[in-house]
Amino acid sequence: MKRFQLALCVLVSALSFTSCVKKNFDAPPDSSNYDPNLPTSGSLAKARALLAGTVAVPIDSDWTISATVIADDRSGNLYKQIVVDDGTTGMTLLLEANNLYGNYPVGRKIYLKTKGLYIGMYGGLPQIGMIDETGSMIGIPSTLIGGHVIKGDFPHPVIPDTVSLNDLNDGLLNRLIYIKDVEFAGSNLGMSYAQPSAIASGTSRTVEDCAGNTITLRTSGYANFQPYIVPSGKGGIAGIYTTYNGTPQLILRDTTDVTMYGERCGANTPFITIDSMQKMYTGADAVMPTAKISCIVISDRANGNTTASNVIVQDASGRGVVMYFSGSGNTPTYDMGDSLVVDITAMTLTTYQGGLELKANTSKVVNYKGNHAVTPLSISLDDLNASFITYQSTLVEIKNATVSGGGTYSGNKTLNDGTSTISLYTTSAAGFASQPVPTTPMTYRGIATPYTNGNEIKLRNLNDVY
Amino acid sequence: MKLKLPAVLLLAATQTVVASAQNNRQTSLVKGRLFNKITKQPANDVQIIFPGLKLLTITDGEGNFNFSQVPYGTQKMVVGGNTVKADTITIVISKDLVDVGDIQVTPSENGLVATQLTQIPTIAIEDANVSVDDDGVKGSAVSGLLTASRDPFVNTASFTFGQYRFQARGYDRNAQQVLVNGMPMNDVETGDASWNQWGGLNDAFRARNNTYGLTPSDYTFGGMNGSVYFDATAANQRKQTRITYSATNRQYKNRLMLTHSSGLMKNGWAYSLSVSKRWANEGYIPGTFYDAYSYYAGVSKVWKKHQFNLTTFGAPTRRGKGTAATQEAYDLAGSHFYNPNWGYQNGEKRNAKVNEYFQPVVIANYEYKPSDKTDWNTTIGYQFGKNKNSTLDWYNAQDPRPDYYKNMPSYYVNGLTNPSPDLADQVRAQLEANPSQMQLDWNKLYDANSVNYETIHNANGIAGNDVYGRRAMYIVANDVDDIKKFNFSSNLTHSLNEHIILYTGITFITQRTESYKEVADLLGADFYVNYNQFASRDYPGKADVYQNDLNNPNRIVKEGDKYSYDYITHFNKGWWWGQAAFTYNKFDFFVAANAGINSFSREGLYRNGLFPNTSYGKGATESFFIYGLKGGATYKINGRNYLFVNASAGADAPTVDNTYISPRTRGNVVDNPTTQKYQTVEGGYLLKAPNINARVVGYATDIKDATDIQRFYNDDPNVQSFVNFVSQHVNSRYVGTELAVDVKVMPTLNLIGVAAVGQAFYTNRPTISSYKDNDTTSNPTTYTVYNKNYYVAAGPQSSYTAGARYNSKKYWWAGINFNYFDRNYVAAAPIRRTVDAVDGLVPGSPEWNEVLNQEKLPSAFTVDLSFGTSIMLHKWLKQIPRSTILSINAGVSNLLDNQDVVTGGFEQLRFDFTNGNIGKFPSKYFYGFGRNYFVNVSLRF
Repeated sequence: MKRFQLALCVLVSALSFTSCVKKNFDAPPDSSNYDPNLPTSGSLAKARALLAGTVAVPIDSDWTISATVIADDRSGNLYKQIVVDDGTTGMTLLLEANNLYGNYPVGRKIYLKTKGLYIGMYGGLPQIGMIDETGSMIGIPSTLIGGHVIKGDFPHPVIPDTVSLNDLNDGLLNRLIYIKDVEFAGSNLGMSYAQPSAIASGTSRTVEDCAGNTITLRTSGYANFQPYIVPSGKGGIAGIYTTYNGTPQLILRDTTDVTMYGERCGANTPFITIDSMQKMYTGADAVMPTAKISCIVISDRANGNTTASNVIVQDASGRGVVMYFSGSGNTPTYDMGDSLVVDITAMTLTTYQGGLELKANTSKVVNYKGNHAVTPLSISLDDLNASFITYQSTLVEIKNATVSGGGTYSGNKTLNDGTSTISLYTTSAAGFASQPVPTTPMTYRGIATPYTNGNEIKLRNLNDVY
Repeated sequence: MKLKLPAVLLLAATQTVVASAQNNRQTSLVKGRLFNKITKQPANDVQIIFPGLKLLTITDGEGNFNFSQVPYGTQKMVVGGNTVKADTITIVISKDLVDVGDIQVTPSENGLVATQLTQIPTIAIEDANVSVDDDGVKGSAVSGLLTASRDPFVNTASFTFGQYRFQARGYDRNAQQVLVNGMPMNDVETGDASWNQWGGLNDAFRARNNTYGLTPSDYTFGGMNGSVYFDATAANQRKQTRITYSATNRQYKNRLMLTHSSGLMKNGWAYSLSVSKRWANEGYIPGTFYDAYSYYAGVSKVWKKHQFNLTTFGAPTRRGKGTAATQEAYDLAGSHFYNPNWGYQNGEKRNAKVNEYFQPVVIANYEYKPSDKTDWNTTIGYQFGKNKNSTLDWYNAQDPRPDYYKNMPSYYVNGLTNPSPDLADQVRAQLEANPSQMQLDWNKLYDANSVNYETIHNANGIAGNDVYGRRAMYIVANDVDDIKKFNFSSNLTHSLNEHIILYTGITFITQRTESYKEVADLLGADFYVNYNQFASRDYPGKADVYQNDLNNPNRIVKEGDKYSYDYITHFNKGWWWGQAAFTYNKFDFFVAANAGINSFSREGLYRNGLFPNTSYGKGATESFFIYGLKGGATYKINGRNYLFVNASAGADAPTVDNTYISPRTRGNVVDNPTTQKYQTVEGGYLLKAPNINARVVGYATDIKDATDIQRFYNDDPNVQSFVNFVSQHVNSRYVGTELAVDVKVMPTLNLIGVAAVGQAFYTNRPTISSYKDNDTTSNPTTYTVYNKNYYVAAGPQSSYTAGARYNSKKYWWAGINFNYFDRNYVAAAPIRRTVDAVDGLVPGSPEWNEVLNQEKLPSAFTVDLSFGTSIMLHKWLKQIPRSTILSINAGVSNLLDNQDVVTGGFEQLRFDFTNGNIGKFPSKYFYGFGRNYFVNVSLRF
């Protein structure tokens, strides 16, 4: 037993020096308030001035520029870059690492040591980084970032310049700007900030003021707010002012930069009917007053019997009109049954081939979609022909009518309901143009379409014949 | 074997066993058992020689010996060797089987001293101190054979080859069954046998029965690599008090062990206690600390034919881990022992990957011996506790690992559209000039957390509950397995007659394992949120999808809270085994079988936002019928030359991890989970002569229908998800030769040569299905892997050692070994052996070969030295009793300090499909220690 006691004694003494191996670590002090206060030299504006053309040039000077981070990559809208501003100008810093906001969040002061860095351009936007073997700009390698971008204290206020859309100029590039009293273009309403990354790496939306001045809002498909629907109100927007090959672009940091809670431009614009609008045409082109119309699409772009640039709408007054969208970027994508609100202010109402046509712009159209059916007016051809101009661009239905001549729908056919006849016109480009016409009396629906050589009815698709 | 005849022969200088003599030309089987006259314990490792016949054998762990083909007549048998007094026993052989029964032997004058010599210092080869969890490659790196044996091959494989990731026959660690007092100790999930469970308790855990290959065991059916049976009952501990201090520079620096055993006392009681501590502020690998305790306590009561034992042990261990790295990282760090897991925090090295383990065991067993012919052992065991592995976790943050591939110079050559060696050079110069950038930057992690103020809306699922504060970008997290294991086993051994022994037994195991992740350290932040960052990136704006637990959305978690995943696996296993062993003069043979059910089910505790319908609740039970058949025969050409052949075939259940595609996120299983089948045969020649002991064995094994799932994060821009590579119907073959020769060239000098040369390779083209954890909809991408004849990464497949051992008559010995390792292959990534990987490459072109070839690691040469002595302190100071002995064991491994020994490696599982550039995700390697040593000083009294 004595041996055992001895063993126990040794045991206790041996195990008592348990502090040989340490277990817990102290947290290091919070260093976010620490500023190394490095002596500074140079400026971002001086660096910018080194760049004469678009080819990247080295910044040979050993400057230490003090600047504040004004945009980071927290939302994913920026990738491998942050934007800083030192008061002289702003600058995009290319850094070959992701999630930079952990080290360089908005509001952090940084010291940029320029020796060994390059200034270059991407699509017209000045950037500081390094170059690869081809001379193209590339981010500062992750391993080298700490030596070039030194952390200062946090946080510093980041206050954007308030500007209007008329004031935008290259001096604002890479700076945080704030624009008041703007809204997303009507054509963007109901859409997300960007398409998913699987479809497009980035998407442009349009922000405009009530005077029609616009700027492109460019958002990455990888931004975490990509699927969010753009606000429909009017208000302010902040972002980094950039450019891409001559197109000015605004880049959001995240959706807290968008404060559009007010009523949209033209919220007080009165609605008028198409009937009232038609009456404003008195023989010569008429410029529309401040007004909106609310209407349903009756043309069917899927079947191609209406020109792609035309959309035919009808409203509750029972009248219809052709909306003609011309020019690039102004292609209508409204489907039969869509419900539209069109701000016709300052649009021109003209005539084409004897029918009324509104020269429209998609940016003035808000599409509320839906699958709205317009009940066609059942009428005899005799009555229709008698007041054709009244029924122009509306949906009509002719019962017990026969098409003479047989063959296919393509081209001009004559429709006869016993009271009168009319031309049934189908363009050869229509989806159903090669289908045979019925030989027995049927009901025909179509859009009453004025034409200089004789009025026409245009079927939209084969569901119009039954 | 507990065979005992009533006749116990008390031996004086000469003893005679008389049996009726008949014919000199006939031969006989002679068997018996030696035990220590003083301690009453079996005398193991005692040499017995028939000098006239030049026959030799050594007693096994229970003191048993047997000789075959001893000619009829009067023979002299000499018991001797280092441990006992030489004693000559005369026996008269006159019948086919002579059982001389129990023979008491007297420890030699210095016998107690000499017994120390045979103790092999099992220090530091305890477990892989490396982690490869980020790379999806399993760390089956350490040989399971970790115990002393009388077989020169097994000894060498364990202690000389084991340090260099030698895997016996190329098998995994689950090929060896390990039992303690009758309780199976192999991990219920993986089947691996981990010596960590009794780390530091070397004194109490001595193997009673150790079989290798397909040799039959007395206690269990056995795995393809055999079995180890530890008898840790108090009654079978040698009466002693022992203090051991060890100094080493391997995983730990210091070890202190204290053991006190009463031996079986007159009142039928025995108790035994052992405690130990192993520690190091830093082991051989930088940043790896070691802090481990262990305890063992046993009590036994022997009453008539009954023996009751209660045993408990555990080894609470905390240790920092190293990891594999690319050659580029090793070169940049200027060391083959570079460890990216640590970095300085407040001036001290902190390791991000820490293993914290404590799974104590309590075993009660009852042994009933109604007669000398029958032994019935029933065991109830309970094991519980946690195994935690820490790791850094982060949310929308830069990868903090210093050796992240985009931080390496090679990224600017292999990872960019326009390779830019100039940038690579700048990066290289920076890292070489600033070695601290090759280590973790803890301050940067704290710093990022300190400025990351965020508001979490509807926190903890409560509408309108906004939580504002510093949201952690980085945390230290633990992957935790919390087990509760219950075991019941009952085994019966019965000697039918002198030739036949029957064995049978049943075992039931039920285990509940809860697996989860917990926040271990917020690194200065206020909270972390239980979101799945990969889902939030892939499904932006879909708040439901990125919840790790939809039942508790937007959960704010703090230190100690569970997050990320949480599920329970319920295991139920039961099997029967039986064996019959026949011992005759010319032949021994045996047949054995086992059969049972292995089943498990998953119970999800989280409803994962990506898999809301398959993640939560209890899933179906997966059940597998398992079986094995085994048999073998030994032909004794004469008393010195033996031929043997053994064979086995059977089926084992797949593991849980190889059945559920991604158990952390969902309950879906692979297509038609199936058992893995094996067929194995071994045969060889044994020579046991007084001056030469040799063994030549050949083996061949086929494993079929194996399932293997590899999981890793694939940051290919087209994937960016955790990926599960499910390989099914993988077939492999293991063939080879094992050779061991131990020649006594002089009475004091033995020369030893051992070689293990094998081929472990794949024999078919399995299919892999790639399941993305972020993809809830699509079917897996499926590839055919052109894997045939690629090597299985199974350590060096050619291992040789030549050594000499000098045994002084003055109770010291010294040994030297020259080791050579070759044909070690990196683990081949399946994805690189697919049509897609070589798409567009010209067959036979250098680029094509580069993608397909399997790298052979460089061969290695090392030298080991060992030394041991025992001193009876009585010689120096008469007051000290004779039984007080000081033993010293010391060894230097890799004497020449060869720091270029690559012990293993693996190709990364991700592959640059865009450019087919293997340099973008290069292979990672493990290096063996350079010169390392241990010194054991042990005092026994």
